[in-house]
Amino acid sequence: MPSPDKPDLSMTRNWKHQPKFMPVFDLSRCTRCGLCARACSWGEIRLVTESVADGKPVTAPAANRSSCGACQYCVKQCPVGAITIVETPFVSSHAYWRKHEKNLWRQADPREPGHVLLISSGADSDQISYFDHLQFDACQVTNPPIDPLREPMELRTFLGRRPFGDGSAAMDESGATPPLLDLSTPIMFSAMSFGSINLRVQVAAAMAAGKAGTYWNTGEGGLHEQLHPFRERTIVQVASGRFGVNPTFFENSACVEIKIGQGAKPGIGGHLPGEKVTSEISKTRMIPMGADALSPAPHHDIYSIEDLRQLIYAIKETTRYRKPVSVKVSAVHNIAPIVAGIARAGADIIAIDGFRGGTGAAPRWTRQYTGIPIELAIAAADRRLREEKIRHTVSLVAAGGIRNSADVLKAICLGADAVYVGTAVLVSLGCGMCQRCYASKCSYGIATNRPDLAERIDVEEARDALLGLIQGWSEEIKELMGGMGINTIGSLVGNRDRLRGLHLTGEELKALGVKQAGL
Amino acid sequence: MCGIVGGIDTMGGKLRGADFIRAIAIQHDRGNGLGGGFAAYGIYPQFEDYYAIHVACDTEAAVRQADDFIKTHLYVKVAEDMPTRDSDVIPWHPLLKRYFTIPGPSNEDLKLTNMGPDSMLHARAQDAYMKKFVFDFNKSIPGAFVMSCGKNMGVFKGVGFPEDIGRFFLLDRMEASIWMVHSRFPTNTQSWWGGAHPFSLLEWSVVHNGEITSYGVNRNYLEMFGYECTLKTDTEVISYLFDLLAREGRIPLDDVCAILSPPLWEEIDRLADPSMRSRLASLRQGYAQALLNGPFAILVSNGRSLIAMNDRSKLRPLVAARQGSRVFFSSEECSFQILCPDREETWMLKGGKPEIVTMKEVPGAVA
Repeated sequence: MPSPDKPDLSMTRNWKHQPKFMPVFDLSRCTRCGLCARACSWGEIRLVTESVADGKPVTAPAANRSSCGACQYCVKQCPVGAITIVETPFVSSHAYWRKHEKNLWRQADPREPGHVLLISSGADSDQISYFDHLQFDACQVTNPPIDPLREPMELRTFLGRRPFGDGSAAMDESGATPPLLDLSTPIMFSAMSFGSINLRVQVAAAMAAGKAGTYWNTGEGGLHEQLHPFRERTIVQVASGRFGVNPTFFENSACVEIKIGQGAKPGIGGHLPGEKVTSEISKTRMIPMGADALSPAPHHDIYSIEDLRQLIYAIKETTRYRKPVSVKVSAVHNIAPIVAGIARAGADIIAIDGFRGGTGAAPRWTRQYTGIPIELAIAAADRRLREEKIRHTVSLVAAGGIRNSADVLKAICLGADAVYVGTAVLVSLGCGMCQRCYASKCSYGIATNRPDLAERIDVEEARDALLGLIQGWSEEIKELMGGMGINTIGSLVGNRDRLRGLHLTGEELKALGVKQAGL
Repeated sequence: MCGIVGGIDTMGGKLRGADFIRAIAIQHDRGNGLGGGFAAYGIYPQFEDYYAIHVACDTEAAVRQADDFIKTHLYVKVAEDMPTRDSDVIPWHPLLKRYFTIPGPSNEDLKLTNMGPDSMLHARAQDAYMKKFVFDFNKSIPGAFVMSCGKNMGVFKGVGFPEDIGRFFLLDRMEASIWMVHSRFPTNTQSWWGGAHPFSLLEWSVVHNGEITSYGVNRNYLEMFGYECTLKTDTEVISYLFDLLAREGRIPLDDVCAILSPPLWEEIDRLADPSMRSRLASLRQGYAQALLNGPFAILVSNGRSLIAMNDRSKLRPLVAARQGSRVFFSSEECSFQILCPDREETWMLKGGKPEIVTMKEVPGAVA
């Protein structure tokens, strides 16, 4: 037994996890209101009694040094701006191992032996962002730029199998037109399931999508009945777990998306732990309350492309060919032939999710090092579909790491018809990118279903924030297009002539199909 | 900036080349001497069933290669030098040849089979053959290109002011049922004889003032249908789009125009007629990659119709005039003082609203 004169100096029993960040309080500003301690859902801030006034204790905030992830919620809440988050110094003499020591200690921790390092959000590693190496063109003299405040500027986008897309240019005499999604702007809200986020956030996204004339995506967690009124703007997702897939689910949607993969974790399934499966989630997902919601890595009825074709047509039959069917895949090395195969299997829309795409939870190294950037994937897919002479028969949606309106337009110039944004949606709602969605303690009330936290989301305010994102980005896209002398977004889809590359190798330029700036 | 002029006699009457030379000369400042050209229809009535191939070759070696290539792939009825006049103001010109041909190997028997009523190669197949021939020719013979290859028509173009090019080709002595003329002020590509307008494929020719900012998308689309953009300029996509949509797809000309320069979505949404609304919407959805963006004024012809069209925002000038059975289009109204001084009507084209003028009767026309 340890005793004062013989302390227990065992590493494993005494070692404490040192978080990378900590809050620092400017006590000269602090009013001792205590809001920060209530705001922090991670247990990082405690209140320490300083003195007693009028018989009541006066408490000051202090950092626990246990759990700060720099979500910045306390910073945004503090009424007097007294809190700063700082990165705590971590001193290691070895440059090569510095980033990895803590991970190894964590995996060696006897309280959680041998666990898989989990993480949320998209890859935060320092691989190149091709978006940042692409420059737009603009008109000078020979061609007038267009002022979007004075001239028409069309962002309207249709997704799905085109009319007359049969390979000949002949008019279709039957008069029947295929079902198409009708977007006022080429930006959609990406798949985030009920479970990974809460119902309030989904309702806000659905409302904003309706107001902005675009679509939101249920993710793989089924469709809660509160969302049925938004059916005209809803893309429902059928994933390997088939959660919540039933006739009502199909009836209350505008489009059905088969999720094969997700950019953050290509080749990996999903796992919503049983403790998160509340009664509402259990009803929506059609699984017992408290049971783990497991999405297998593959669809167990899709072991190859011909099986996908069967599922696509099963869904088309179910929806009487009135709804486009989308297939979402991760951006992987062989994405070009995969996309061509999916197009030939009958998909109307193909969404490609790059490795920067977000997740509620993924093994750390899968998230970091599996898959390829969306810029390369979309360029390769667009090129391959053109080579196979079927590009005009199918729509491409780019997803995964689109941070601003310039990224949207660059993805379009590289071959996308539209984009999905997910992480940007969360950031618009306040998210400070602490990458711990899996913990279900989200202080912003986004990635959690704990009622006391979820109520931090005000649905109307969240709707307006998302509407602001779509509207602001759309205006910026119009300005960029006007500068390029283009007044309809379709004239930019795959228009690499309007891009030039900076600081890229010849091979990279070739993969993107973009010329070096100056040439 | 470029200048364009065009004219058609809807009764099939002949229009004088000399007038069109003067009509483009009066717009002298719209060009800079780096390109001028003419398309003329109904000019080879004696060979109206033969594809008239106008070829330009930089060198004697290219001429020999071109000659071999043509004679390997086509039956040649007549091969001759293009008639030209010595000119002080054209410092250099390629060697210019003209062939009247029929698709198929240079075999007299085969040629008779092709031409007969039981033709194995019907008209569409012949067109397809010729199209492939032209793309192969332009790709495989360095220093040579086909200026035009339609029946009973020809393109005459080069580097120079159009009035000088016109006189160089003796067009002041020529008459045609449709003329299209271009004066070039190049801004995107260097000037070369192949880069001058008109651009032509089979029966379709185009003259264009403007810049196609959707070029990358249009080229991608055309390449899927086997077109190869080899002439280093945005205008060639327009002639290929007409060939693809109107000739090959047999889409009516007003629909083709609605594809290339469609109404705005808000205009389509406001249309009262639901069938019109759905037709225009489907055309836009189905052919989004064929839409021409950027500022343009274009004249297009297939020998039966003359089409004039502006971009949707009307960022390039284009005026029209009518005098009797004749209709003229021009970048500037001044040209009408020469072409139709007694015109009954002069009007400005509206952005995105094409004018399609079709001949009432075409003497000796092949349907």
